[in-house]
Amino acid sequence: MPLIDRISTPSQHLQSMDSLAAAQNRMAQLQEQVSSGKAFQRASEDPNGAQSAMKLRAEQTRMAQFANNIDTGLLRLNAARIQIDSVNDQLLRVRDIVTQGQQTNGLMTASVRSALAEEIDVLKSSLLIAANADFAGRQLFAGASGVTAAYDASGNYQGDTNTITARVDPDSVVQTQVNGTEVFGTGAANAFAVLTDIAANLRSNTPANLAANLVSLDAVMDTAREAQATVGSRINQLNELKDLTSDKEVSLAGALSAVEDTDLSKAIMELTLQQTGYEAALHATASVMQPSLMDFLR
Amino acid sequence: MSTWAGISTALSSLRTQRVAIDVAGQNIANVNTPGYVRQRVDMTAGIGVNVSAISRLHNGILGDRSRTESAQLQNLSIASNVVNDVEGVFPEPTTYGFQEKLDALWSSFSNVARDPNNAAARVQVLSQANAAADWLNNAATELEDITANYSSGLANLVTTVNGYAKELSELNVAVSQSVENTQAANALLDRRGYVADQLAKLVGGSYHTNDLNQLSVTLGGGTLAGPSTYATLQVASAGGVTSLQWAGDSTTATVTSGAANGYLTAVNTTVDSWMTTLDSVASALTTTVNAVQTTGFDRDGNAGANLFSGTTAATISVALTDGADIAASAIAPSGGVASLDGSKADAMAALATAANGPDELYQELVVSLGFAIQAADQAAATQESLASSITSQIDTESGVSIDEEMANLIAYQRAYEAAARVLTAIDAVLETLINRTGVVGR
Repeated sequence: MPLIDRISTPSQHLQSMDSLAAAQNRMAQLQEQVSSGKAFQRASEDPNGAQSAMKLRAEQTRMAQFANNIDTGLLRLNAARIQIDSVNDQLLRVRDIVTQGQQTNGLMTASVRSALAEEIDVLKSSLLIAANADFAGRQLFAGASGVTAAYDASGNYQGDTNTITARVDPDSVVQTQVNGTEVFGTGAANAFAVLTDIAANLRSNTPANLAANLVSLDAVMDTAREAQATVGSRINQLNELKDLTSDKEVSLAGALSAVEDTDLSKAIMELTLQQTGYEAALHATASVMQPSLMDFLR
Repeated sequence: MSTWAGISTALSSLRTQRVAIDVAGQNIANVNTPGYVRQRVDMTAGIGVNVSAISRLHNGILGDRSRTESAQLQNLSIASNVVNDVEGVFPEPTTYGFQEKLDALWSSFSNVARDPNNAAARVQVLSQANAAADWLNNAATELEDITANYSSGLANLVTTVNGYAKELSELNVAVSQSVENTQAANALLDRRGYVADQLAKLVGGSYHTNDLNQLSVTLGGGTLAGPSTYATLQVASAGGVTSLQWAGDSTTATVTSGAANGYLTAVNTTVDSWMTTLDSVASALTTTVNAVQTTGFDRDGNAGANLFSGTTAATISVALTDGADIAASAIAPSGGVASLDGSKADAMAALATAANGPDELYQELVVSLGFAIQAADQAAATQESLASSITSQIDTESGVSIDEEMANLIAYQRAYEAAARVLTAIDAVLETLINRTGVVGR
C-alpha cells in the first residue's frame, strides 16, 4: 500500500532513540578497549584471537618452567664441577705421593712410606666426602637413585646408572649430572680401590708395586678429567639454551601483546570518531524531535 | 425543497465535524499506546454529510507477518542469550579461567620433575589438581543453574500465555457482540491485536480470523484460543526432556517459534551440549594424567595410583591426599631404595601440549563457543532488522502522527466554523423573510 510515506510520531522517536543507542554502544565498546587495554573482553568477540592468546599464555608458562629447569640444571652441574675440580686436585697430590714413594734413595725409609700411606688415607676419605656430596637433597653422583650416599665407607658404588635430566624445550632434555662411575671409575679400577692399594703398598714398604699403581692412577685421573670436560660442556650447552629461552620468552610476550592488547592509537582515534558521530546524532535528534506543527499554530 | 433543509444540512456538518474532532483527539491521546491503530472518520454525502464509519487503518496481512517475525525474533534472541550466558562460565582469556588452572597444574608437575625429593613441590601438585577439579565442578554447577533459570523462565511464560489466551477468547466474544466501526469496537480490536502480538512473541502459533471477525490461535493442531473457548498450557518434564502440554488431555503442544521455543531449546539442547563438551575436557584430564601416573612409581617406590577420579565435569575429584603419592619416577625401586627420577612428572607436565589433551579440548570448546555466539548474535540481529522493518511498515499505516492530526484538527475546526456560518446565513435569510417582509406601511 504505497501511500505517501507517513511517519508516525512514536516511530520517529523510536528511530532516533535506536540510532542514539547504537552510537552509544559502539562508543562504550571502544571505551572498554581503551580503558582495559585489551582488544577483546570475551572469547566470542574474537574466537581465533582468544585461542591464540590461550595457547600463547600456556606456552609462556611452559617456557618459564624450561628457564627454571635450565637454572636448576646449571646449579646442579656447577655443584658437580666444584666437586670434580677438587677431586682432580687431590688425585694430583696422590700422584705426587706415589712418585715420592717410588724413590729408592736412603731418605725413603719404611717409616716415611708409612707416613705417606697415612696421607693417602686422608685423601681417600676426603675423596669419599666429595663423592657423597648432594645437591637439593639428591646425591650428585648416585644417578637417579634415592640412596643417601653414592659410595659406602669402603668405596663401593651404591647408586644406579640412570640419569637426571632437565627439560629445556618440548622435545629435548639435557643431562644435568654425571654418575659416580664416570668420575671415579668402575669396579676394582675405581679411585678408592686404587688408593687403598697404594696405601697398602706404601705400608708394606714394597715400592716395586707402586709402578703398577701409577698406571691405574693415571687411568683414574683420565676418567676424572673426562668427567670435568663433560660437565663443562654441559654447562656451556645450558648457558646457551638459557639465552635462547629468554629470547623466546621475550618474543612470546610480544606475540601475546599483539593478539590481546589494544592498538591504543587506533582505538583512541576510532573513539574520537565515534564521539563526533554521537554528538552529530544528538544534534540531529534534537532538531527532529522538537518541532511539531503545534509550534507553528496560533 | 423544504425551507428547513438548509438548517439540517448545516447541522449534519456541525455534528460530523464534531465527531471528526473527537476522533482526532482520540488519536492524539493514544499516540504512545502500544497496539493502538489510528482511526479515521469516513464521511459520505447525503442530505448534508454523514459519518458512515469510524474505520481502523489496519493491514491484516502485515499484522500476520509481523507476528510470525516477532515470534521468530524472540526465539532467536533467547537462543543468543543462552550461549552468551554459557560464555559467562568460561571467562577466557583471563587469569581466572580454566586455562590458567591447567597451566598451573602442568607447571607444578614441572617443579616436581626438577626436584622429585621436594615434599612442598609434591603437595603443590595436589593443590593445583584440586583447584582444576574444583573449577570444573563449579562450571558444571553454573551450567546447571543456567538450565534451571531458563526452566523457571518457561514456567513464568506459560502462566502469562494462559492469561492472554483467556483474554483473547473473551475479547472475541466482546467483538462479536459490539457494533462494527465504532470507537468502542475499535478499542476492543486494538486490545485483541495487542494480546495476539504478545501471544505470538511468547509461543508463536498460527493466527486466523473468521468471517465473524473472530481471531483463533492454534499451536500445531491444537487451539490455544478460539471464538469463545481457550485452552490451558502446562510445563511437563519426562526423561530429561521438557515440553509444553495441553492441561486438558496432557498431550504435547507443538511449539516451533516464540520465546517458548527458545526456552525449550535452551533447556533441552543447548546447555546440555556444552556440558557434554566440558565433560570431555574433564575426562581427558582424568585419563591422560592417570595413564602416566599409573605407569610410574611414587616417592616411596610404590606403583602410582590414579590421581583423578571421575570423568565428568560435575564428578571429577582428586583421589590422592599425600604428595608422596605423585608418581614422578619412571624407575622401579632397587634394593628397597625408591628412585629420585623425575621423568614421569616431566611426562605429566608435557600433557599440556598433548593431542586431544585437556588443553586442546578446552581451547576447542572456547573457540567453538565463541563462533556459536557470533552465529547466534548474527541470526538474532538479522531477524531484528527484518522484524523492525515490518513494524515500521505497520507503523507507517497504523501509527499516529501528531502533525497529521493537527492538520486534520484545523480542517475539521474550519469546517465546523464554516458550517456554523452557513447556519448563521440561513438564520439571517429567515430573519429577513420573517421579520422584514410584509411590513409595507406599518
